Amino acid sequence: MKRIVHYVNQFFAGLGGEESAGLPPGVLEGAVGPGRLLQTLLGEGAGIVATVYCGDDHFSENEEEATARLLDLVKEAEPDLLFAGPAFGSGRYGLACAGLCRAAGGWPGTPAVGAELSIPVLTAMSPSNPGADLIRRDIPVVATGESSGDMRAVLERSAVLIAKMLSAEAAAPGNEEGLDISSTAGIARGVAPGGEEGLLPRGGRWNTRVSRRAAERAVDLLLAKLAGGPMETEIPLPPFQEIDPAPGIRDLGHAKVALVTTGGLVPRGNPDGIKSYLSTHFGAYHLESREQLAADDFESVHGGFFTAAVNEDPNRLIPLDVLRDAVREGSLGGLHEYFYSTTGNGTPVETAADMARDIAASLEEDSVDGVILTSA
Amino acid sequence: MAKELERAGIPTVHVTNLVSVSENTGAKRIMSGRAIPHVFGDPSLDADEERRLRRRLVEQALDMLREQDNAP
Repeated sequence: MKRIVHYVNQFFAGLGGEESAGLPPGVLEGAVGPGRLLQTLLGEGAGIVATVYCGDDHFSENEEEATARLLDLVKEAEPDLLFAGPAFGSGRYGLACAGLCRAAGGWPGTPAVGAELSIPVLTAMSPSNPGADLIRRDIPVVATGESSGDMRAVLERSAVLIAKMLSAEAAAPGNEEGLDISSTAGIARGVAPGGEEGLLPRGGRWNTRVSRRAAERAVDLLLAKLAGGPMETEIPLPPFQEIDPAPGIRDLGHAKVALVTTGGLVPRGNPDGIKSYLSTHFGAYHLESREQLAADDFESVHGGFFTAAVNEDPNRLIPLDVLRDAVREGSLGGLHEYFYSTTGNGTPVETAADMARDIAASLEEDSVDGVILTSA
Repeated sequence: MAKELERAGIPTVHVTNLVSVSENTGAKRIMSGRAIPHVFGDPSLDADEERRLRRRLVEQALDMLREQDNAP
């Protein structure tokens, strides 16, 4: 029987929600949580011998140390393969899966650059998970939706891939049928660069035969674009554009600064109905003559981090109290009279960019010189 | 969001403990806060110490708004 180690966060390990996100790495015997279903799907050829876990906050805040400890726990279980997740749209969980997978190996026979072990690894998360961008070129990532609703379908696809990765043929160079990725840069012979296997595209180029020559395809694309119809480029560009930094503030003593947060701080009762996940809009809240943000007046509606510390003292997210001090002492000119708030978990980058453009417009109107943007 | 605000010409310091996420989107001024659930505070400190810590972090953030070019 082939041996598998499964990595999950504190939640899927059954050890608690956000209040337990600070848990250090640990190990549980056998399959736990989603691992139980995965074990059933894998059948008798492969067994989950251990489940390693770590709290999401703990991993993000102690990445090096947590990765080293988790690797030790993985090694102790002597696995033939590591499976991490699925993390779906959860950013911190996805980053942990990505970090551990990259340290543990990669495609069969082709560990990621800098990996400390070289076992086959597989993880699963949504294409928009920040962890996905970090590893999709080096590590196979099963594509998922944003929430655990499609857990079963994701684990079914994962089980098929795990079986392929563990099969003897997978490691044999030149095998056109199996999962041979022994060629350079993770570009497969015999395996599509993503899609067909249910994996996230790796960003590699892959040779294929098509019936029409490049000139014809290019003209068709151009005509489709001119007609405003649907078109699919053959070479998608990276979605993020570089920007030039704005000029810095010359004289803080005469500058006005605004406060923006993606930590979901709103007046108690959430009058604008800011969503705790997949936010679509932001709220603008007047600071009035407040010297600080009182726990009786404000709360965080963010659904992706443990909000107790912020709810106890909202200045821990939006540091109004000490900024008032700075203004009084003259080291800062003043504060914009509103703060802006939304939740950043699961929010698509384009939606966040739209919100930021709206916020920027009102800041410009009020001649704001700089922004402190806080995120959990 | 940090990038769009900066693009609009408003220097923006992003205070977060998920620095790699911010870097990946192309934010220009990124500062690591105290911890994910409380970037500008620390419930384990007493009230005065925490306020001094918050003031130091805020000064650090304001300093980053003054920087003229963070490009490497």
